[in-house]
Amino acid sequence: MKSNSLRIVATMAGIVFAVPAVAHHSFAAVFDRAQPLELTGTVTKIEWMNPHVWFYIDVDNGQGAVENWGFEMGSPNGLIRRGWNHDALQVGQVVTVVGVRARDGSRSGSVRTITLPTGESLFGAQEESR
Amino acid sequence: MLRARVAVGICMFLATEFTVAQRSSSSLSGAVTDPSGAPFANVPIRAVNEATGTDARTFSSESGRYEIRDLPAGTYVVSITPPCCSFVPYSNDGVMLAPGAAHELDIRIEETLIALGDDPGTIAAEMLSRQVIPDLPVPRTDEGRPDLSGVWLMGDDPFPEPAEALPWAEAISQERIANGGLEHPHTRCLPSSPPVGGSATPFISKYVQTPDLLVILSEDVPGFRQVFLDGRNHPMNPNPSWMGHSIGRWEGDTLVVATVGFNDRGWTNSYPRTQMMHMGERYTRTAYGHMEVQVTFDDPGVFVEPMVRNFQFDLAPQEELIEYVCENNKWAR
Repeated sequence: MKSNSLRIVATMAGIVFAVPAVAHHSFAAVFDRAQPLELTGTVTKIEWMNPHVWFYIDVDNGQGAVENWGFEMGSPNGLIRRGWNHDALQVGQVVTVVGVRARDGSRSGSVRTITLPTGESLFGAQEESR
Repeated sequence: MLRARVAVGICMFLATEFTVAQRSSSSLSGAVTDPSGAPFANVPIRAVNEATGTDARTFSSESGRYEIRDLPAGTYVVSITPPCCSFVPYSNDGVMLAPGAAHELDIRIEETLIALGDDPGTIAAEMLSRQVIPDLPVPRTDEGRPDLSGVWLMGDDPFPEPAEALPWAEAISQERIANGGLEHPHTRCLPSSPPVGGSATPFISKYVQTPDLLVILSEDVPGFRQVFLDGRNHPMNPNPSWMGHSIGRWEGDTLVVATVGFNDRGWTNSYPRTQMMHMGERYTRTAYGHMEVQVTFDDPGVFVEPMVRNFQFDLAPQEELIEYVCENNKWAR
C-alpha cells in the first residue's frame, strides 16, 4: 500500500505540473501530428497579434487552382524574444512551410519552420530550436 | 577515564556503522537526454525510496549527467518534472538498487503534444542564458527593506509536492489533465491565476516596489496586481475577482503577502478554485539575481491540506514587458 501510494504521488507530482497555464488551446485537440504538411506558397496576409501570430499563403494545388492556407505560430511576445520581429515575414514572399495540419480538416496548420526566399529558415514552433 | 573509554567506544561504534553504511549504500547515475537525443541540462531528478518515503534530489549537469550517492539499498521511484511545457514528465517505478551497487539509469525525455507553438520553458532558457546579472548584493530601499523591483522570469517549483484534494476537485483535476486543459481560462483569453501570472510566454513580470505599494505587472489580462503595504486590512466583503485583494507586510527580509477575494472561475494549477481560497506568498530575494517565492494555496473548498509551491524567480534585467492584448484567438471555444 505504501509502495502504491508513493508511486501515485510521484506520478501525480509530474502530471499536475505538466498541465500548464500556457496554451490558448489544447494543441492535441486542434492539431494532428499524424498529418504533417510541407507547402510552398506566396504570403498573402500576416496577423501579428496575440495570443498567436497567423499568416496565410496561396498554394498551387497542382490541379490548376490556388488554395489559401493559414498557419499559426506562437505569440508575438514569445517570437520577439526569440529573435523574430513583425516584419521578418513579408506579404508577397514565397515561403516553404513545414508543420502539421488542423484536425478539423480546414486549410490550416501549426508551423514548425518557415524557409524564406533567401534560404534562411525561421522557426515557428519554439521547441524546434532547443 | 571511564568517560574517555565510553567516548572512544562510541567513536569506534559510529565508525563501524559508518563503514557498513558506506559499503551498503548505493548510487544512481546516468544521462538525461531530450527528444532529439541531446544532453538535457538542469532538469530536476528525484528518487523516492518506496519503503521509507525519503527522497533524494539533484539536477542534471550541463552535459546532462546526474548522480545521486549514498542511497540506502531499496526500491525507488525515479521521476523528473521537466521544464514546462514541451516535455512529458518522467516516472520510473520500481528502480531497484542493490546494496553497494552503482546503478546506471539513462533517461530520455519525450515531447508532449501540448506545446507546439508555445513553449515557455524553451524561451525562458534562452532568455536566462543571455541575462547579465551584476555581481552586487541584494538591493535595498531607503527604508532598508529588500527591493524586489525588477523584471523577473517566473520559474516553477522544480520539485512540486503532490496536492491532496477533495474528491470533487480531484475528479475535475483528472478530467483537465486528461484533456490537456481544454477549458482553461486562457482558451477564452481570461486571466491565469496568480502568483505566476502571464499569458504571453514565458511567464515574465515586472515588480515595482514603493514603500506603501507593490505593483506586479504581467503580460496578461488584467495586467497588474496591487499589493498594499500601507498597513490596511482586507475589505470586510471583498469583491470576488481574478487576482484577489492583496496586502503585505515585512517579516525581516521576507515580504509576506496575503490575498483573499478570489472568484471561483480561476484554476489553481489543474484544480478548481473557490471563493474560500486564501493565498499566502513569501518573497525572499536571496541574491541580486534570484528570488525564492513560497506560495501556500489554502482553499478548504478544494484541498484537504493547503498546497505549497516553491517558485524560483530569476532576474531578467535585459528584458522588458511587451504589450499583450488577446485579440486573435481563432480556436477559442
